[in-house]
Amino acid sequence: MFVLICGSGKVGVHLVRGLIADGYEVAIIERDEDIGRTVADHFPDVCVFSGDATESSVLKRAGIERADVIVAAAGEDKDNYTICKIARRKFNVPRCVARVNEPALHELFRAEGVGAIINVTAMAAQAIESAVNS
Amino acid sequence: MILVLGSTRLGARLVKALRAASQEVTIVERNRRYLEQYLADDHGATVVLGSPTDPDVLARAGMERADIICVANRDDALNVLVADLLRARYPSKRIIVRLDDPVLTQVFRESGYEVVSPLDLAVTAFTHSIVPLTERV
Repeated sequence: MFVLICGSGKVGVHLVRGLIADGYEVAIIERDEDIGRTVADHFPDVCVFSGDATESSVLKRAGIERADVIVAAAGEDKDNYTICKIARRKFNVPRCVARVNEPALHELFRAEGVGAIINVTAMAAQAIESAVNS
Repeated sequence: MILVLGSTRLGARLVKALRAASQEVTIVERNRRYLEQYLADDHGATVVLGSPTDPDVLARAGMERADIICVANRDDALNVLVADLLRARYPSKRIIVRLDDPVLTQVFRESGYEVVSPLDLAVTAFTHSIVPLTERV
């Protein structure tokens, strides 16, 4: 299984570690060259592509045509939406996972066939709330 | 009324051209700096400062009575999100979207959007200037 991660950051680094341990092939597209270099140094088995993942040429270069899963994990909703749109409409990627900040946009992502929506802020709030309650 | 979303170079020029053609125009831009940089004061369009994804901003801009919406931001990704949001909220409105990425342009045209691609237009213009009509395949 080949997983293409768009936008790494801190969440991405933890995600890559877990996916490699589970035997997945992983590639990353990262706009920030410093973060990209850090990820490449940490994970010699992972291909890191430098560029803007909302550009179809960058997605192609990173192998989106054979991706089984795409993870749109950039900081901004508009970027993740566009990545998922290209992945679903042009390349028929079977499964899309997207990080979405704005709850009002969840429906739009679902309408594009995004299978899993991750709201990092809401998850953190829930985790803290349940820790307080326990 | 024509609603233009995004006042960078293209949006601002579009506003001025539409005003010169005596159209009623409202422009929405979230970045005050772009308005100051690209849009002179004497254009006669209504200016609304705010995000094109915010329903309150669009209501203030008079969305209900807009005949045509031009999604003209510089950023393809923003235009993709804004256009789909608008279509979901106002399915009967005519929406024209500015996009540069060739795949997004194709996907949007297949979805029934009117797309203006500055990059495509420029390449075509260059090619037509260089290669005579008879030599084109």
